Amino acid sequence: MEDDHHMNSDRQSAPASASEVEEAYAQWQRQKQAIKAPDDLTDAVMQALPMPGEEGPASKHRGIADWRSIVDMPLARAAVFMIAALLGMGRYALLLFCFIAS
Amino acid sequence: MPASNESELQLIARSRRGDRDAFRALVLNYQDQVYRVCCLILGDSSFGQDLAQDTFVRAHGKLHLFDPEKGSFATWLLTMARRLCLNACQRRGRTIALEDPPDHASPPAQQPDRRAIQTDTAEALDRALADLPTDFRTAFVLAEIEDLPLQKIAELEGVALGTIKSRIHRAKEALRSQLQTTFDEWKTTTT
Repeated sequence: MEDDHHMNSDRQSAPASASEVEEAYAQWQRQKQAIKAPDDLTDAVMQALPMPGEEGPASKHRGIADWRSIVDMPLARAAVFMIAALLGMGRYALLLFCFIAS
Repeated sequence: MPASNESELQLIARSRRGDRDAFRALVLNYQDQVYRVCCLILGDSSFGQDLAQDTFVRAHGKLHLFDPEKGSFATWLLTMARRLCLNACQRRGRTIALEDPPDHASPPAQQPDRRAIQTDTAEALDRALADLPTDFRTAFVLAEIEDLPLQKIAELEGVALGTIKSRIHRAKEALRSQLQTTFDEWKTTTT
C-alpha cells in the first residue's frame, strides 16, 4: 500500500478482533441484501413475453429458454425414449432376421 | 412487496387472464429478489439478469400451475429461479466471482485505510461465495441474504432441514475463514 506511514501511525485501522470480523461480515451481508434489479429488467421481461394471442415464444430470448428446457430434459427420460425407439426398431429387425433365416 | 396477500392473488388471477399490467406489477414486486438470488448464485450480474428475465418469462407461461395452497408466489418464483440457476451452473462448470457487485452502496466516507479493508473484505467474501459448492451457495443465499425460513428452503431444495442447516453452517464457516485470512493479511502489512 502507498500510505504505509499513514497506516502504521493508526493501529486502530488494522482490525483483528472477532467482533470486527463479524462486523465486516454483517456489512457485506447488508450490501448483498441491498442489491437492486436494473431499471430496465421489467421492460425486458414484458418485451420477451408473447403478445396477446400468440402461442409459444415471441422473442429470440424466449426461444433460447425453451430450447434449453429441451436440452435440460432429465437424462433418465432421454434414455427411456432411446431404449423404446431401439426396441421398436429391434422388433422389426428381429422379424426380418427370422424371415431371412427361414 | 404487495400491499396484501389478497391483492397479489388478484394480480395473479388477472395475469392469468392476459392482463399484462397485472403481470408487470408482479414483476416489479419481485424483480429485486429474483435478480439478487440469480446474481449471487451465479456469481455474475450480467448472467444473473438474463436468468432473472428467464424466470419471469417462464413464470408467465406457467402461471396456471401456481397453487397458492402449496406456498407463496415468492417461493414459487424462487424455486423456478433456483432451478434455472443450477442448470446454468452445471452447464458452465463453475461460477465467476463478482468483480463489480451490482448496485451495492459504497461504504460511507471514512479513513482511506478503513475503506480499503472494507473493499478487500467484500471482494474476498465475493470470491469465497463463488467458490462454494452450488448447493451450499444456494442455501446460504436464500437463508442469509433473502432471510427465508430454513424449513421453506428445505422444501424448496427438496432436502431435509438438517441438510440445509449443515450447508448453511459450512458456507458461513468458509466465508468467515476467508474473512479472517483477509484480516490476518492486513495485520501482516501493518505491523
